[in-house]
Amino acid sequence: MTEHGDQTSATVHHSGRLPRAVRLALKELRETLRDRRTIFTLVLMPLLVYPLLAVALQRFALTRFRGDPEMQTFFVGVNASRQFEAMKELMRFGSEVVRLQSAQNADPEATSSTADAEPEIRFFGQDDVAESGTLSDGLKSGAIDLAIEIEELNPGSQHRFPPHRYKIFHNPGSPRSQAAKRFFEERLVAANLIALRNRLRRGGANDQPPAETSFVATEGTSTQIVSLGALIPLILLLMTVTGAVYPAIDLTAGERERGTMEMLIAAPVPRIGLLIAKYAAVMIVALLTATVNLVAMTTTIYGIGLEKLLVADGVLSLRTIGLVFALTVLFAAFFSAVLLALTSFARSFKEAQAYLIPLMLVSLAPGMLALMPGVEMNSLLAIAPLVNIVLLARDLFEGNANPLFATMTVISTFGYAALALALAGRIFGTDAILYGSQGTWSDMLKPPEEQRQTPQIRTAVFCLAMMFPLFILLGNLPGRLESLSISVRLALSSVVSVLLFVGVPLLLAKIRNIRVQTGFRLMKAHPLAFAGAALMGVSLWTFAFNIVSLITDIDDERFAQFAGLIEQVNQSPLWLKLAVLAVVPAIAEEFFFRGFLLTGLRSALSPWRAIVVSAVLFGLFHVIVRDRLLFERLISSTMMGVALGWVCVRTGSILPGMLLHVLNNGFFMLLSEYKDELAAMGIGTQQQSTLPWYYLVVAAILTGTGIALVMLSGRRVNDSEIAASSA
Amino acid sequence: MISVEKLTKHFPGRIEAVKGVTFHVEKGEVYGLLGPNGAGKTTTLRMILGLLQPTSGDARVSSFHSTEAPDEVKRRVGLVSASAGLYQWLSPREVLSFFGDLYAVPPELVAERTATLAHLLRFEQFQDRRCSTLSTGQKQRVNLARALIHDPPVMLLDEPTRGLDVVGRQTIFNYIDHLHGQNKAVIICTHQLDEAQRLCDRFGLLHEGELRHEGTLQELQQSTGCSDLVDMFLQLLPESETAFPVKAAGL
Repeated sequence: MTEHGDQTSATVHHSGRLPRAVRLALKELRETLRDRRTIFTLVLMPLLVYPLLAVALQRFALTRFRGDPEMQTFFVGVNASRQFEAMKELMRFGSEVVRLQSAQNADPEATSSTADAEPEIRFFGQDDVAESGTLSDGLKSGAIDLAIEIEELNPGSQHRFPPHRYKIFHNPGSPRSQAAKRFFEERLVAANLIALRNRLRRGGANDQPPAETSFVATEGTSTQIVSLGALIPLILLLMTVTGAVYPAIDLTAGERERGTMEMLIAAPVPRIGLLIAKYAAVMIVALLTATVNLVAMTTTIYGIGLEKLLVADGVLSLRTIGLVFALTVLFAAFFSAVLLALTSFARSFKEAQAYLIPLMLVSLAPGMLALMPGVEMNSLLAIAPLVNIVLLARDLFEGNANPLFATMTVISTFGYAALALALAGRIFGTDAILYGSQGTWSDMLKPPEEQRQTPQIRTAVFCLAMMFPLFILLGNLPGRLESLSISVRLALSSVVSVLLFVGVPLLLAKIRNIRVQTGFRLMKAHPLAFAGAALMGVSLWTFAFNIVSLITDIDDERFAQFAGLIEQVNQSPLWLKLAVLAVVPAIAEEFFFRGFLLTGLRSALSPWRAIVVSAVLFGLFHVIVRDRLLFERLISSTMMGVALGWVCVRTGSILPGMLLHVLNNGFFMLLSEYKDELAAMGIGTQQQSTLPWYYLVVAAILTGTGIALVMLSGRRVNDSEIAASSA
Repeated sequence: MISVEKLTKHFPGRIEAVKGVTFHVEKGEVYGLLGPNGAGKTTTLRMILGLLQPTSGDARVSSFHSTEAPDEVKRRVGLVSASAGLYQWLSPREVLSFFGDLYAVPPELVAERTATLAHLLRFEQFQDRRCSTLSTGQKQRVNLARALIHDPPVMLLDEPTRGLDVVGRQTIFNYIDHLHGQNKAVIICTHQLDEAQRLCDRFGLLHEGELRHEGTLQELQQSTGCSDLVDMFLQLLPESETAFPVKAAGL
């Protein structure tokens, strides 16, 4: 060891946070995977459980297929009622032949369908299945087991069994349909053979066989005994939660129990950093557990030949595998965070288990939702924790997932995971947990005694995660109040904007004792900064407009989607539109995105990283508009977010950015208001054109001047300066 | 190097664990924070390291405040505690590598220091074995190495010899001698007074959260009139705690 004074910081490694975060996560993973208890859940459980389950399932399946009296009746739809009788006659003959062959068969253990009582066949004509639509629809829905198209090949034939062509439609995903197919095939082949042999004996060598049979597979919609879409979410939910439980307890409450937590907290690493490494490890173990279980389960199902119970054609497609994996990630992301949050409160293994058992039981309820008929995904359910993933999984497997709800589900799930992690970061390793000081839950809501000048990153992320579901819940509310006039609805939407982007962060600032002026960057700025921001505000919109125009036809399909709304909005006075759609949202959004969020991000990220992250989040919030996804807005809004973020960081205040944002929104609003006049000049949405090049040159000059003025207005203000100025 | 000013900790619903404690420890000095169980020694150490928020007062390490810049303080401190455990499924080498990462020590330096510490603390033989298979003494040696992996200028040792046999204790003595030689500022919390007398340069006698006496052995002898630490310690306690109540028990 070296002799030194206070030179410790000189040996600090600055190779980057990410590689270190990865190494920390790998340590957690290594430790967890070496633990016998993890291995037991991960490997031994599937190896022991599934073979046992397979035996039970096989017996159940055999009992079901043999003992079910419904299997003894086949429902067959036939297109031509005239040929019913000929077919019935041929089938009776075929059955007789099979029965005789079976009687001659020396093997008493023969498992042919003829060994049991002969199934009953109920024939239906096209008219009989009219309620189900065509014969094909009847087969798809499971109303009939086979659909047969019969065509008479030789109308003048004098044979006992005149030749017919039988086109038999069957459903490969339905065991009943497959049993019926085998039954018909066996009898028609037997009847053909005997009839031809008899004719040959009589010297009719050129005669056609009585049945010319072909089979057509038709995919069913609800013919599987178990619906994959209904079952998969429940399986994934159980597997991921099972996989995450043990590592979540071990890496939190376990740390305290084995006496390593104090050493961990004594290290100069933010608690949230430690938790993120633990989160990654728990998530990977949950994913591994789910994968091992899925592989074992699938192998078992294929091994005992029950694959058609789950997958219609018996083959797992790449799409199915990809979907299952993506959904497993979503489930694992959610459960790992929620479990870690709960176990962070626990001081021992036992206490952690006591917290988790109710959670696991409660989690089963959303899992069962997918099995219930009539539960449809909507914007409310798309932000309901866990319920949204379960319903998304069901809809994906049933092929009717809605992209908007899927996006909302993914965003809100990761939001909830961030929320849970931020919560865990507030309690993990605190002295209440570490040394059992009094009060744990109450500490979470207690404002810190010392006032903070700026929010921490976890407070900002917590606020963002809370904001998304509220944004969906409240954001759509004014639009749904159709009994109110459009002006009132517009005014209400401003109230919602203020509540969301101002009210929620202010509430959090109050709870966390954050000084509003510095926490939201409500600082004075140099007049030059306002002048620069104003120039940027009147010019930047031109680039945003061109970007949107270049990547999408905004007046075509998209425009049509909003045509009604736009028409209604246009009836309102311009001042109201400007106030409600330009001024209020701009001020409110600046308050949150550049005020609270960017300031919070800057507590842990470099200025440019913080600007980019806040800008992308700003862009994402602009993608969801009412019940639609407008991805074309992502790039332009993100770029605007970068510009606004830069102005805020440069001037140390959100006020110039507010001016920029208001002017930008205002110009877009005026563009919409005077679109006819602009169209007459060859510019505008009607022509799908971009702005002429000279507009862009003027705008570029104005923007450049604006940037220069902002840069001239002062230098960057950092947190320490804010703290000093406020002291 | 370590500066503690009027440090106070009041746990809600309990008595004041630490009452306005003030002391300073210089570079190259070994300071013994002595006192009976519950005197507030461990609480004081935890506040110095920023693991507990003081109710009032101030603790600083290398002029960094433990409440205002806890990470800077933590970066400069190595903590050894008798209650500290190890990761059962990792080897000593992996444990040191992990803590090296936590303190942002470059991996190559971690490897170098691991080799030095393994030699110094004699765990070369079992540095790749799982910690779950190690004896108490072996685990303690790994923990001592863990506290030094980032080569901190300040060491806080909380009851370092608790539960150790003669060999284990001797390892600790050698370790503290080594720290002394490395010019580190060291605080040892213990109620093993004979050990403290042997190892420390200065002492702080803590009782019921108050620092009753402070100074070198000679200074303490002068101020208390007692010849050794045991007598000084007993002098602090009320007679009811030290008298053997034979008569009262009727024996």
